[in-house]
Amino acid sequence: MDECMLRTVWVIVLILLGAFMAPVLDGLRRKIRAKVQRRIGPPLLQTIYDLSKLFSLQPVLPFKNMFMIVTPYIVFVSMLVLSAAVPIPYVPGFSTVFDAITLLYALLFVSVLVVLLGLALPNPYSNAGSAREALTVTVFEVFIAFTIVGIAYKMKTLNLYGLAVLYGFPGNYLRISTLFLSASLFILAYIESAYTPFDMGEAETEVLGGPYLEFSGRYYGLFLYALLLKRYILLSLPVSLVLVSPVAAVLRSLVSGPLLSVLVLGVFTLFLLITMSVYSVIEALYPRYRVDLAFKPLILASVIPLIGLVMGWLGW
Amino acid sequence: MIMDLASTLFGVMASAYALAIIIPLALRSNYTLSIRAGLSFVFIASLSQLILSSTIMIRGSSACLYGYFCIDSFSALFLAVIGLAGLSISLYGMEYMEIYKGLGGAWAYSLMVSLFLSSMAMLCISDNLLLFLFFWEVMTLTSIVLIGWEYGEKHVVRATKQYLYTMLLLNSFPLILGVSMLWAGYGTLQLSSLEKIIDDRSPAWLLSIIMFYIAFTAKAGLYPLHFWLPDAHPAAPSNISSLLSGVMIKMGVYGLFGVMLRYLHPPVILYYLLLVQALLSIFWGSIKAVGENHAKRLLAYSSVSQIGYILVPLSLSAITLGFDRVLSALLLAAGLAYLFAHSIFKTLLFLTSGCYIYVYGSAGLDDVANIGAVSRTAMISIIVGSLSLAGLPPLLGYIAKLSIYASILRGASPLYSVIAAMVIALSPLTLLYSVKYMAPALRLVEKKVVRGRIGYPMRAGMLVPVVLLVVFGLYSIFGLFTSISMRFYGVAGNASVEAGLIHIISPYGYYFPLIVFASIGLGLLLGYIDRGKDVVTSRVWTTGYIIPPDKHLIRPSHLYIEFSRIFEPLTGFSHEVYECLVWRIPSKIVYSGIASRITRFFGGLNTWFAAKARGLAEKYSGIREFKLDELAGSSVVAAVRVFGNMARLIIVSPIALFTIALLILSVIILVILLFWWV
Repeated sequence: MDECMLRTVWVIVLILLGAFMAPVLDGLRRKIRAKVQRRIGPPLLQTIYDLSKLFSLQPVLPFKNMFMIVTPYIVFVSMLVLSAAVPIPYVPGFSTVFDAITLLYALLFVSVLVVLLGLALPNPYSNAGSAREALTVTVFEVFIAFTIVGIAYKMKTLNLYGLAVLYGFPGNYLRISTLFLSASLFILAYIESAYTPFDMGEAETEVLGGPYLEFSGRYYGLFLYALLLKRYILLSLPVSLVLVSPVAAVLRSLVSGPLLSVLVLGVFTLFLLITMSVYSVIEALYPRYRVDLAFKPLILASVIPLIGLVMGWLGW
Repeated sequence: MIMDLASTLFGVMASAYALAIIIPLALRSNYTLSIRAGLSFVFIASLSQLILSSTIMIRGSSACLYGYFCIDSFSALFLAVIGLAGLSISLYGMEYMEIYKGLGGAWAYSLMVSLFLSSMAMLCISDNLLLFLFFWEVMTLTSIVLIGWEYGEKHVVRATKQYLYTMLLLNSFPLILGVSMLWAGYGTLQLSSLEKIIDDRSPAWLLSIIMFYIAFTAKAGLYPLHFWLPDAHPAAPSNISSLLSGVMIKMGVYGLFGVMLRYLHPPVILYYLLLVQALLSIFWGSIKAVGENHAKRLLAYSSVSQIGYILVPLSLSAITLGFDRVLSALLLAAGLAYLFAHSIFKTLLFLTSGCYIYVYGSAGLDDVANIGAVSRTAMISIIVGSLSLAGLPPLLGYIAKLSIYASILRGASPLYSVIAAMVIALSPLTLLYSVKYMAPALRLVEKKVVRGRIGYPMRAGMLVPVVLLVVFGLYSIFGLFTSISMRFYGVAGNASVEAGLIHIISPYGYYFPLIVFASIGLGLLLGYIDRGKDVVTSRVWTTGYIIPPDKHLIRPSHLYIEFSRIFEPLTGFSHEVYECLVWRIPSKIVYSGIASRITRFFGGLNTWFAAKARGLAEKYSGIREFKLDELAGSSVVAAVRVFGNMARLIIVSPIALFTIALLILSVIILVILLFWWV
């Protein structure tokens, strides 16, 4: 099997993995949140049932406008394709041609489409949700900028595949600066995924789902699926770099070839589930921030990657 | 062979620009025909200019014409930028200028556009500083006339005056002074020979460098000399605003790099200053643009911030030149790529703001909605242009922005990572205002429409940049910019540098737009197959209450108010300072103090003369025998009137006064300098 063929196979495997893991991770999140709140909670595959139900319903929209019909598909397909770009060491998908900035900009592109749709609709809740979403993204960018620059300075590359492999090497991994950068990666994934203290954009109880309010049936299903995929992609960043990469660096000396890739993929899935469980516990414990109060913690959090960056300069 | 081709194309270009002046003059009785004929010749000129420049860029050769004009690949890039903008604005203007039919003067418009474009083209290729100065002044003067085209509007007059005074004080005066100092110091103004004899110690060199720096940064609209830009650019007709923002501010960049860095060996410290100014520009332009509610003013402020994005990598490149040529070439290439991209999408965006005015009669963001119902081309142009501005994939803007990040992050010292962090952290502000620009056009609410249709010329004018943004997004031309930058620094043919550059640029995600395009295409296809056949429509859901939509919707002007409020003390204070420095104090002293007194004197003189002459004429007009005298008397009255008005216009208007003062001042300084050297 030649290189190109192998990569195509891995791309397909990664897309399938993303398509399956995204709803399962959400099911796990709902289950654990229920447990923390002393409820029984839905079954693990509930999100998949929800999605299949949504896809079978007849959609109701305020306008029969092509922009409203096409955008959910574009958002969903883009997310599905991007899930092949998750950086997993020794699993060469799209991550070999992507870099970290590109991935984050692609996610931003999808957010912008949703924001635009929310602003286009003559509904005050959609408008409010979109405006909040846009502002949150902007304010949090300071944090993202420091994290990216810190990692680029430390690892001398931003290629996702390269990062996934290099991050776990002992020379890079066992440093104080890397500790701070790893923490920032976990925070980045949490906040960008809009888990509870930071879900000002959708905010079910305040603005009724924000930009998604007017969508129903398969269109809402596509948006929901895309959102879950986005959370999966973001979660895979810290999991793969911080947790899987050092394990892969050890495994590399024991096995090689396709077996290595399959083993690493298994480890990746395991760590995904563990990390999601931890996130869910945190999510269950916090209420949502009021939108005007959320900017302060978002800006203050930037201190963590900044420390990582400065320590990187000092060579620690 | 290249020389033949170059001189032929140059001849075609020059004659087409000349015909664009002459033919409309012949057709001046018919406004529409006159405009269309003039702009067709501008189109031909731009096309030949584009072919000329792209031939030179792709071949990597250079051509010298008539001894004074040299085109190398660096100036060819600027020629290409002017040509591309000229193509779109000439097509667009054929229909758009109908708005201004009431004002007349079609031939004057063609004359000004032709002179404006040709002077910019010529200054990019002139090898002689005197010619450069001449074309620079022609560019400034024609742009003044074009900015003040809607002379009846109060805000236009104010913007024009402000532009005029600023340009005289911060552009013409320093440039004249700088050029005359170089002449006094070295006895030549030929740039290529100046490069060899210039020495880095003499005061003439230092003073001319400082003067050039002020002139070029003011023209580029760089903070803090940007204050004229947000008033001046929106005042012009939209296709001219495109030229001002898309092209003219780049002439400042050309001056800073194509003239100063290349020939005059400026000190590195100047480029550190430029870097700081560029970063401040990004910040200031962005936060002001986020708070704007007028489409054209928003775009003008965005130009202030985008010129910062262009100049950050370029100034870093000049700083890096001393110790790392590979990185320096890469940074220059990234800056040029962004310059190219910005000129295309800013041209497009100003044209779309013209669509707002054309269709809704206003460019206020609250007055605009659902432009897709009027013209789908306009909607697509707005989306493509704004996404490019925000630097989002998969368009050219994204490639250019990624090039900036990638090249800055290649630097080894902490300086580069600080700059990169700042640039990346500030970039979502661009996203905020481009969403603000784009969202109103998509809003599915009803608004009053003035013209229900956008015709083919306007659509064609917008489609040119749209196609370019998409095509260059897919097929990256970054290699072209690296070859230009390597030739600019004289490292072309150096195998190790070339190998280093190729190594640097290849791993980055230039494949990625293909993937995004493919997914967007697939999404569009699925959406098309779906077409929403089984969709049921219902009212917008407002939790069961019937709220009148115009009462409770979040309008574009409401967006980001809480964000803008954070910066309010800062923006308010600076506004006050600018008002005082640029407008109130000069108007107290010059415009209303001195000038008005002189005007009153001449006005009085005029009235006195006219009264006397009229009296004389009336005295004799009663006698029939003196018919001849009556005739003579009335002509005296007329002559005196004309003289008085002309005197008031020419000698005492504040504009002329200012010019004369500046000229006298520069002559005095010149004389002092000459004595000093002698």
